[in-house]
Amino acid sequence: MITIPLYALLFVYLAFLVGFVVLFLLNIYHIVSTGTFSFWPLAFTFITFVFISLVLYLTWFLLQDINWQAPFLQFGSNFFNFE
Amino acid sequence: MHIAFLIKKKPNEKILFVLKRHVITFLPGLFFFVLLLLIPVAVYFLLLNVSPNIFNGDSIYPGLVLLGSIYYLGVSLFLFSNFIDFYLDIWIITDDRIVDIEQHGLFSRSTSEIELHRIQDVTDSVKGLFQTIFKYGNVIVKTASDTNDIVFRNVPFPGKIRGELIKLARQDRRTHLVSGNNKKEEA
Repeated sequence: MITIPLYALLFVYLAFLVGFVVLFLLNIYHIVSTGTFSFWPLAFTFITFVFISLVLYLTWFLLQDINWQAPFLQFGSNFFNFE
Repeated sequence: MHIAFLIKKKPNEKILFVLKRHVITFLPGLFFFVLLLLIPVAVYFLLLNVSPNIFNGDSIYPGLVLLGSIYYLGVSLFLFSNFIDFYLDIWIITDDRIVDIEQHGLFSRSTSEIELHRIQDVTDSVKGLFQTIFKYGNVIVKTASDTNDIVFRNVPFPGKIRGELIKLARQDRRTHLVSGNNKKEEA
């Protein structure tokens, strides 16, 4: 029997976070490279940053008691037996 | 904002206007963002009605939380990228040229410029209810070349800008005429 543990989901989440950080930094790079250090881009960056921090904190808060070793999917000999 | 840096300002060149899209044109993106924020909440209550125990499953619950987190992070990135796209569309008018800098998404940006004395025609257009109420619209600057038109999209007070551009183009043409005559005399 093959068991995929719950923490496998965290790897998928981590992969998404890497892509997310790259794209977020690319946006920051556009602001820096064009020298647009005025109020609105900085304020917008700050608000986005606060929102992202809030989402990450809530994610951690909601998932702090999860047992990540628990099985997420189990493939047994009868996995494809729908009867 | 370091406009001089952005356009690589020539010596003695004066920056007269820096134009951006009207703020109101960003609002639809903002409303769409709010709508996207509300979708998971609606889905949550829908799922709760359809299957009240769905969030009690040991493996379903963390999966859904992570999915929600990915969704909200994606939506925030979408809004931020939208803002960058909106904010980095800039049209700069100096006493010598017009520089058009347009951001197209995250990976594409185009910059073009035309000298003021090459301007042949300037047209402004205000279309629709919102453009009329909030006084914004397009200004189309045409030169003799068919490929080199510049369009200021959704800028505030397009009529005023058209007037200023016509005045500046006339002045620049006169300056070029005088400097051309001086060169001929020197030769």
